[in-house]
Amino acid sequence: MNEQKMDQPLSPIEIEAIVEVIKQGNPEPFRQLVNHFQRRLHVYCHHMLNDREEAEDVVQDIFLRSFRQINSYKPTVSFSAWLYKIAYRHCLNRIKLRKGRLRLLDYLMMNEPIPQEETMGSDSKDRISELLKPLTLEERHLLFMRAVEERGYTEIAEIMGANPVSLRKKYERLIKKISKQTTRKELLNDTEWYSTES
Amino acid sequence: MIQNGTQPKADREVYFKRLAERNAPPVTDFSERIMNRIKTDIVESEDNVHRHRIMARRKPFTIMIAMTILLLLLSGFGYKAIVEGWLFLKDGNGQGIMSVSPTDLEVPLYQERIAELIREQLQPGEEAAIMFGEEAIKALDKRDPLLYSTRTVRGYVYKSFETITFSLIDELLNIRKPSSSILGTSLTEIEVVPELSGDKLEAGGWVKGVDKDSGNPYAFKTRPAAKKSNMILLTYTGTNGIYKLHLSYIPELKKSIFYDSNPSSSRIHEVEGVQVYNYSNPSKGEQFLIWSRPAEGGHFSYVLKSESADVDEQLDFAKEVIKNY
Repeated sequence: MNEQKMDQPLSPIEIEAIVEVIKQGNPEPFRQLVNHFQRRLHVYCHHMLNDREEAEDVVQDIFLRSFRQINSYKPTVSFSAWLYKIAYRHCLNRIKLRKGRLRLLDYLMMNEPIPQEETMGSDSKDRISELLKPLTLEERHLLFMRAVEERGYTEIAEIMGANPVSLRKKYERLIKKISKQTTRKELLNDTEWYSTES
Repeated sequence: MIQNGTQPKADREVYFKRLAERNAPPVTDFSERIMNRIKTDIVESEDNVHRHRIMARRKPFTIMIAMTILLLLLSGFGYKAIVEGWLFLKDGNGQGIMSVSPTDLEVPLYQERIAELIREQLQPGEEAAIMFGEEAIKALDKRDPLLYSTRTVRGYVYKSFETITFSLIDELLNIRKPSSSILGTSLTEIEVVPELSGDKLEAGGWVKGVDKDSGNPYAFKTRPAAKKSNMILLTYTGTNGIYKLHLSYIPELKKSIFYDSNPSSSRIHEVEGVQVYNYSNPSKGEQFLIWSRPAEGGHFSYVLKSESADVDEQLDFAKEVIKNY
């Protein structure tokens, strides 16, 4: 494992320049985009799907799909937002396939909690799994984008194809939902852990 | 931060973020796997069949559009190194449509020779995948994932457009039929080159051989090509010689990259508003013109070659082609 290689930071301008070269037909610079985004996407997929092995497959599929579709990317949104849009849709599709209830899926995915037995993998004992368990995939995505990726509502709205105002309201409700599951003790413990680590 | 049972929103977000980080999966480098999948995708993709086919064709066409995407993949060049020295050509609308990369893509002569020998044995509409080298043969024997293979295909030859089964030529239907006579030459042969099969190559059924001259092993496997085509090779014959016009449709994803180990902007010619690149390699005695123009969902690529006509005569011929199609 090469941490240095994995953490090559790229500026948005560099990313756009690399995309242009790839669009010209040269795939090699795509490796730099993989190195730049793979860790974040891996963590994202891991928590979205809650399945370690499937997340690894899905990360690769997302990059492959983005490579195939890269000519359709236009810099009206950031490449990062575009990539996460693909990731989000791909995760939705994976859950669809997993459930095998294709016709009802959109409704189920967007409006109902993901049934525990169908989404929890071997890591289900983690606290985060407990937290995510009652959330829909849309809610997981929103929480991850906002709390972990620290993205603005406008950008998240672009990724999800939603209204930024309604997303903000959803997020407020989501935080309340989560706060019911997190105890004061947990938060204090986390703060202690947080401070001792840094 | 925490006040009497209330949980500030920011704290909950930080808590979740920390929790997500603590429960993150192990750090994994996917880059090799992803790039390998892209490589395989390119090799297997029908879109990319184009380059294998041209490579395995006659020598003038061995240097070709998009051919070395794979080689560049393996080369590990940095981004700056890739862009440096490139030429970018524009179409009639002033849009960039083709790049010339300063990369040497010499295909070993014995591979060209074997590919051509195998191609000559094929039936029209039949294709062959060819593996070169011990490593590739070993992978074949061990039933490991197949390494890069060259592919070649034999087209259907017609004497006129009227006799062509045009259902084979999907995208090329969108262009006007090339004229039966250009600048004193007549269209004497049309080869409709089918797409390679999109099916994955199975492990069995390979025929092995050894090149007598070089001693290099190879293996090939034949099967029917796809039942469609987006490539034709037109032969025009006149008193001044023979012109071969290679016309193909390339999906947008594979924008043209042409590889010339010694590119020069002085060999870019403006013809009817289109930038035409004159490939010239005196040491190999090779010279031809190449240009592209946009089409719905991709672009058309043209290669014009003549053994007898000089560059000016070829440019005149190209002008007629560009004006009329």
